[in-house]
Amino acid sequence: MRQSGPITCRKCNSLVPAGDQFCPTCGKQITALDRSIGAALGPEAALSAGRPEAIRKAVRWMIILGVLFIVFGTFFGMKNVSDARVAKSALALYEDDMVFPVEVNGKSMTVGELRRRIDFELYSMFVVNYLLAIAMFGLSFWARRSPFPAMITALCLYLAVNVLNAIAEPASLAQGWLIKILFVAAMIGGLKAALAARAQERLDAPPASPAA
Amino acid sequence: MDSDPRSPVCPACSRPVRPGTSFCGGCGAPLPPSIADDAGPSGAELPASVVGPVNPWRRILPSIWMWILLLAVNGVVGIYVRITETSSPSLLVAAELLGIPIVLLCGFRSRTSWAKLLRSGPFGARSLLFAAAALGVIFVWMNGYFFLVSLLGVETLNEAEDFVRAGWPVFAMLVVGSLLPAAIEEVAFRGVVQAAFEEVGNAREAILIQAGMFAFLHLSPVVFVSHFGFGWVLGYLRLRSRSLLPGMLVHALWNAWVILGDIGEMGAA
Repeated sequence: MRQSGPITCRKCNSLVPAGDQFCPTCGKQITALDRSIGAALGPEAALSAGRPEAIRKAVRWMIILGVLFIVFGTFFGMKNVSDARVAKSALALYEDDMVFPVEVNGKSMTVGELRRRIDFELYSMFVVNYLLAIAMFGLSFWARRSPFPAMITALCLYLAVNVLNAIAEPASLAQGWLIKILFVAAMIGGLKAALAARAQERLDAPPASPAA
Repeated sequence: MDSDPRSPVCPACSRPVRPGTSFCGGCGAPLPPSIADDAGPSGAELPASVVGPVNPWRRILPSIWMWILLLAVNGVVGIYVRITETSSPSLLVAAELLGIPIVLLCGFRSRTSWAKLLRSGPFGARSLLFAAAALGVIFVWMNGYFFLVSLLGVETLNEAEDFVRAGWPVFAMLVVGSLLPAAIEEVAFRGVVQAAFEEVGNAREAILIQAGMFAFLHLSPVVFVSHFGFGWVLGYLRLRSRSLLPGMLVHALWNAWVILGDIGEMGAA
């Protein structure tokens, strides 16, 4: 525990560099009690004072995205269930070992293989989206402790999922721009804030430190 | 260059104060508007004396752009293959070769931090043993993972199929499918990306970030998991060996194993 580290001002919540006897933002005198409370809260509390709202906003967006994965996964999964029912009832007349007359993805398949394929695609829709939601919730949890690596991972995962969607369904590139822009902007804002907070942490000489 | 001659001082006690603050941290006196209203450098443009030699955001931005460009190439190829329903080896090779200028261009500014990793590093029985252990861990992890996934009914792509159909000889497939991607991906992820994030954060964090970026670039939810572990082991190997070469060797051997397995599978079918 660093006794001399930066702390958060208890009056105005802004960062007070190590060695300052007064809060540079509101002028409150920093007492020994303030120092010991700041030290007990740990450097995290002081660091998040750099630009806390940007980091908190980014974490919130990661949770929102996780919820969206669950909602979309459930919605399209349910839609797939009904599509699969239609497809399977069309196949009901054929035996498993018959060869399906039309090639599927460039391969000829037996009806049995096609049935298994329909079942598989049905469940993979749910599984993939729920796993992505779990990944996002996990990253948002990690972001509370180490915002920077968690946010960059979430941003890359989100971009990759968008490209994956575009490959599966090219029309999806043009959809959902509002969420795409808001999420990416929140992540970039959070990343910059996390880097700024880190730079502040590295400050040992308070006079040279810039205002957050 | 560390001391800024224009840095303001408190008019009451002459203690140096930060621009943009309203009160002196030393004596609590209110500061004049000339100091208080000075916005000073914001988070994105911290002065070099504060954050080290390079602004951290600028330091990682080329890595992020490199990743986005590589992702875009993979995405365009994927969409093209999807729409035209034709996949040709030359298209895949062209996309792979396009990665070389992207990596070199985006890694050019930070070349001093990763080019030194192309040297062999401390070479000895210990590092050989370490590379062998990494290879063993990767073989167990990847084969175990894909076996479990195949039990769930997931079909894995036979990447050698198109090349065999197009009549490529095995050694050419190994160059294009094993050596080349191993070299490019090691330089890109364990080199450019890992070095950048090590400087901005710490080594453990850099390994996790590059492993994630590496895995997501492969554009398959199944592969996200397997290649995250794969990238993590290679990142750790690069950290311990202080060289990219052992990782390239392990990576190429794994790729060759997959290709030969795919060819064998085609021969059996």
